[in-house]
Amino acid sequence: MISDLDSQKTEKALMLTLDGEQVAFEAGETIYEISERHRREVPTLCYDERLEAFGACRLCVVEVEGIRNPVASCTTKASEGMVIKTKTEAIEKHRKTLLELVTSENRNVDVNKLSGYASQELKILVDRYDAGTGRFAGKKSGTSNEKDKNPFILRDYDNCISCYRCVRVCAEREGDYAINVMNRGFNTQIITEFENDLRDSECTFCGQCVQTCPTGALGDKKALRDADTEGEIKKTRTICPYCGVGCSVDMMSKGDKIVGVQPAMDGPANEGALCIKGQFAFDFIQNADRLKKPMIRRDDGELHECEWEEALNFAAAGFAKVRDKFGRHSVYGIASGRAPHEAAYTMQKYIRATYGTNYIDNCSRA
Amino acid sequence: MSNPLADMEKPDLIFAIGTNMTECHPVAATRLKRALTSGAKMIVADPRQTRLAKMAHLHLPIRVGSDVALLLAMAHVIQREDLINANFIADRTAGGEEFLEHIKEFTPEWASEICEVPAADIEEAGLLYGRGNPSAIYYTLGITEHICGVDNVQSLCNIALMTGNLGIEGGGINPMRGQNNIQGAGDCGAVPNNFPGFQPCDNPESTEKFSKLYQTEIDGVKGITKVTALDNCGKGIHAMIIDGENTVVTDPDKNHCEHALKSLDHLVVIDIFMTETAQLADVVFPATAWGETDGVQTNTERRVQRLRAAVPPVGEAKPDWWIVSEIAKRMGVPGFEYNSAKDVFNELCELSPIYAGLDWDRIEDSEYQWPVPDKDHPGTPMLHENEFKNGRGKFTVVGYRDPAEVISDDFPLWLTTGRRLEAYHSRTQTGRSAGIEYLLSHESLEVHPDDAERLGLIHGGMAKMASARGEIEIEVKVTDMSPKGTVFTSFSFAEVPVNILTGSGYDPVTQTAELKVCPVKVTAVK
Amino acid sequence: MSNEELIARWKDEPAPLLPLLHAFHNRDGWLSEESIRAVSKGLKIPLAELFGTVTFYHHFSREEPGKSAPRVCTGNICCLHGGNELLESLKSEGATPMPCAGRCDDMIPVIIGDQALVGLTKETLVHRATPMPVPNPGGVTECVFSKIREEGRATLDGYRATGGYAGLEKAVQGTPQDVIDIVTESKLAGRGGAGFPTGVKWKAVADAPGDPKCIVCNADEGEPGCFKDRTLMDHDPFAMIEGMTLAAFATGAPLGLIYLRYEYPETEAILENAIEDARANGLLGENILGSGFTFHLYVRRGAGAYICGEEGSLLNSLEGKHPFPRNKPPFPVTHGFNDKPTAVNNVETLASVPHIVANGAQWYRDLGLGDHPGTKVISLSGDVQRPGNYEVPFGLPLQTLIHEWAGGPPPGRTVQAVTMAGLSGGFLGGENLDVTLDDPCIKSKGSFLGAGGIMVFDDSRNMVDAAHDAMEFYAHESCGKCFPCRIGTQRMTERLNGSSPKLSQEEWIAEINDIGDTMKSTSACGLGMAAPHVTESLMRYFPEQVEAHLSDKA
Repeated sequence: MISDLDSQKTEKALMLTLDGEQVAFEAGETIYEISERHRREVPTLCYDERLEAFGACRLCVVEVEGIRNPVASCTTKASEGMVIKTKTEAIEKHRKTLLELVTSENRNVDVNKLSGYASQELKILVDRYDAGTGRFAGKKSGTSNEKDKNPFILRDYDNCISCYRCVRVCAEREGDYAINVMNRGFNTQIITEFENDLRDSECTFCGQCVQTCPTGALGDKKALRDADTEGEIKKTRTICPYCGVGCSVDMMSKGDKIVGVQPAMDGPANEGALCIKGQFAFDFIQNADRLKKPMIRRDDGELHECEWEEALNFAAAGFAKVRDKFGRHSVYGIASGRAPHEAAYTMQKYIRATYGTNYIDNCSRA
Repeated sequence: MSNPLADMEKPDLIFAIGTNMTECHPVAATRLKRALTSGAKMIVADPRQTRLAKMAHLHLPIRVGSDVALLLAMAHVIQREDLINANFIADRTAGGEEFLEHIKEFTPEWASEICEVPAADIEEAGLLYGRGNPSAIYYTLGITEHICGVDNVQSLCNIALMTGNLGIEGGGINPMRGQNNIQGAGDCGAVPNNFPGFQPCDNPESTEKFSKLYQTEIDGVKGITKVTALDNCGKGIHAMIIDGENTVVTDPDKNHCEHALKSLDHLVVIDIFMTETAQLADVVFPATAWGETDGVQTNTERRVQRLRAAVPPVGEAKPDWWIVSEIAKRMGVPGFEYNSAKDVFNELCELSPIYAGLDWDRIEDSEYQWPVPDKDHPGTPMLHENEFKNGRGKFTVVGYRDPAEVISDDFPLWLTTGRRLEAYHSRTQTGRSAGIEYLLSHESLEVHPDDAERLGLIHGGMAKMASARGEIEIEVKVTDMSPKGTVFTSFSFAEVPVNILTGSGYDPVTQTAELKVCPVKVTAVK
Repeated sequence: MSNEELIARWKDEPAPLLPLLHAFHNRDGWLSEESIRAVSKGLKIPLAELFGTVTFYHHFSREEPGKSAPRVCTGNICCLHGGNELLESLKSEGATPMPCAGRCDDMIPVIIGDQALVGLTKETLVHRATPMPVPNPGGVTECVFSKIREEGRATLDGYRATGGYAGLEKAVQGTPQDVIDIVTESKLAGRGGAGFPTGVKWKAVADAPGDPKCIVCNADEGEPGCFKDRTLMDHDPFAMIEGMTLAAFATGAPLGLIYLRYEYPETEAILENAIEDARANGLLGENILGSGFTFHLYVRRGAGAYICGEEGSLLNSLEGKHPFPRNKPPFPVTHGFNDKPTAVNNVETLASVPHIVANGAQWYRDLGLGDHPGTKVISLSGDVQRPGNYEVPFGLPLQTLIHEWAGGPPPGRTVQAVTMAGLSGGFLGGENLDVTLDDPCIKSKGSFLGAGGIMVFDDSRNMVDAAHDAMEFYAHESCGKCFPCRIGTQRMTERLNGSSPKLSQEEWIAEINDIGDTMKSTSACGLGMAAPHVTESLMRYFPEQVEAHLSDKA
């Protein structure tokens, strides 16, 4: 009997009051998660849904009836019957003050969108709360690392707000523990061990820190090469072309130029992660070495560029000649494990349909 | 992979063998790291002290090519300590009795001699794997690129079957595919033994089906593999079409390969760069690259995902499927009247049972893992959940065999090869991406400090490395990453064409080359 | 000892990071890159994380001469006594400042190596014991100080000869619940300042699932103007140890850790010796007093971080993590040391328990005046004639303590202000000096008693400077985790020392008020919530001094 009662109890939906509205929630959910679900637009700067809630920025504080001080909604689990207000005048005032404080320690709030996936978060909030007031002026925090000459990750800590998302994503998601926080209070600074360059640390240049940084203090140096290139940034969802994990990415282009890659936070295989290759090794595509026209080997024994029609005819004629001379088992096709399905499919079909053989393979044996 | 990538955060025990995952599949490795953070234990069997090995609770630096011995002894321990799953063996497997009898003689002490690791560590590995609930196996080419690659895989299957670690969340046998669409190439039938969707070529029904579809009579037998085809160049094979593969650099025994391709009457290469292979071609077609191509690829967990073009192709580059189709059309072959990648993919779905429930539009959001047998099917994140494809999971009785070549007075060191994080294959792509050279500017040979001292090699100095097939020069890097007696390098740099040396043998079943083992001699270059 | 030997010595001990770092720090006098690498490898802590953690602590030197270089207290009271001048005179020897070192009833402390010296000039530094509290000037019955002045009390024999361990002997005859009941009935509450009922805390730990449970003694007495725990530990160490043992018995915890602040090197030796004696005599370890109960107790020395007195930070510090405060809930009673149920108690709280168990709950409650149960040790310092620790009954008028017990301010001076709770309660001044020493009264004035540190400022003192020194301390000690505290303490400090950009009086006040409101409401731990008390009370009691400060600037 008792267990029956228990199970009834757990089946009953948990309820709380969110800004006057009755809402259901599941055990273990935080106030922030529930608020997000109900589109309350609670502001945050230290929050990344992939990371353990940290409770540093305090922007997400909300009022809970019966609790004297506002609570950080990201770290506070909801409980039955809670009465929550996400947007009182007092709360909004605290948020504005916090954003004014953050703005006061930062040298530049307006960073280029190419810096990283989350790079506009601070800018958006400062605009939303009209917090660029210049109040609370004083010493700036963080020192840009000019010494680290790595070609991938900008380390402009002048714009760092010490939310530690980079440190946490490196530890919790990437598992590299390459960076951490040195000193304390206003003197905190993101560093590697002994303040070495990233190259000499455990860093694998996966770029996760860049993409979670809400201020552009960490930036994608390769993408930023095109900061001044004309055109809007277009994002195209596709899949990384390297290993077999199949990470989802958004390829960024301006006009006809590919300018960078960002991980897809909702990619099923990667959930926002990439590695150095997927993140930074994209510019082979528009490299000057690319083959631009078909080529055929002419009588001089050299390959020469030609028109498609000639090359296709030349290729077809060559195969026909070999088939006619040596029979249909004399032609072999090797498909690519790098090209899409359509390439492999047409290649096998070409062999099977043209020669009636199974003389087809791919590069998986090496 | 038998299990989805998401499952990599769930094992109780991780057994990673022959996989340098943090370098070769870095994003997948992050999931294993998270599993470790939440308390999983990990065994890593790898001759080298890779980053993954450093994270392991138990690292087994086994001698290259000794995997079967290790796995037999682990199975022995699992049985001796009664860690087998008798119900699973009885209900879902075949051949268990014979296998369990077979492994009785293979003690950890026996394997210790072959693997060159302490018997106690092998014992512990058996206990850890046997007790894990669940235990998951991850492997890559360190398992397959051996003459006994199939034996290795079957040995892994054996321990998974005997402990019932298949068809369960967080367990399974999980090969990590090394190339973005190598799984897809197989799915599409670009193999000599299967039509699209793994419909066997030696099955008359399949042959009839495809003969009809493709309007020609197709051989009712398997074709030859690429390895055999290369061997037969100029002696039966006289023309080849190669798409997107730098065969000359990535395949074993470079000189042999080059010679083979040169002896063809007609070689057509489709690629995005003028690779070493393309340079040998009679016709080279410029293909569209990543970011310029619409299409589909399948990842290592059988997830079928869309590629989308973001920018127009450079120059006059064309999609691979278009190029192949145009050649076919010019040879009067019917059935290549495609207007788009979508047309091609949808045709594939129509004739492949594992894709039957898919089409171009349905895979918009990457949500399906094959098999998806019909339109109502949600996809199959985990294989073997309730039954194996062919009914019962079969144990295989395997024995240990030496590699094709073993070390000798002439070639006293083991060379093993692999990849590095920052480079991909023959670097046609990563080598042309700005900044990579800041981290990895050239290749080097990793040599254990004791070997370096004995051979008079100095860190940063040059060495000559020779095998029975050739020799190369390479910079020396003295590091304890490599165990004593084994040296390591990657095959990524054309300046260090290590595949001049490799190619001692092939797995008799798959004809995969034994790229992971090659006896060599290393001498200092003054 | 070699790196390997040091690591082998510590790696399997509970809470090994701090003692291992100290072992290297002691061996070499500083923490070299090589040492940090060795510790990282030995304890499997990622190198960057360990490096970051090491830099968090004020007293770990990462360069020579490091540990042997003098550290001079420049806390609020020592500044009144010439701390900055003493620091200047020792600069040639590599001296650096340190925040309040918990000896405000004495001359200026200077730590050199593992010795805490005191003196007013470089030439007159001496090594001497912590001052003993004077006999109670009010003649009232004491609890924790009731036996402290007895001859030999700091030895095990002397402790037992003066009634020590009577409480434990009595307790082990009964049940753990009996101990919880008596402590609950006594109304003893956390004397570190939070005032949480001790019996309730112990009950929660006893009832919480998870093993091994742990008793942590918070001896990180970092609050400026507080020096009571030092006196208790130096002169009556067994009382606290017995108190911990009783806590362990009550909650079923086999493990105890004393988190001792770095600045008390002599205390560490006293505690280590006392623990060893207790262990040798069957009062710690296995089968205590033949009752079958086990309690292993260890001392862990901090390395200079005020925030480590905050229990979440303290636990993270013990666990070898970056000492940021933890998000609550969960609380330590369910998720404490190594995520196991843990009672974190202050030294004074624990030292009270043996007396309470021996004499009864009623006895203890009756020690207070009126409705206020029990006693509190007040660390009184600054501009009074007899600074020191005084155990007062709750409800004693502040003026009685200052003027009658401690002799009042120097001749010719009047009391302008006092601080409460060390610094955390801000200032009291004017007619609010007429409070009684109990939380209901003091809280009604917008402050709180906290750990019981009271600093007295006479009418010659500039209160804006005093407020600045206090805020600078908070800024120095802010951990850097939550935004309001990390930025707010810095901005407040700048506004109090005039280094901020020019502001009108209205702007200045509005900024201070806005920062203060947000810090109090949204900070993640007590540090950021408490710091605005300083500015609030400054503006409340001394508006004319604020005005003068602002017009000086203008």
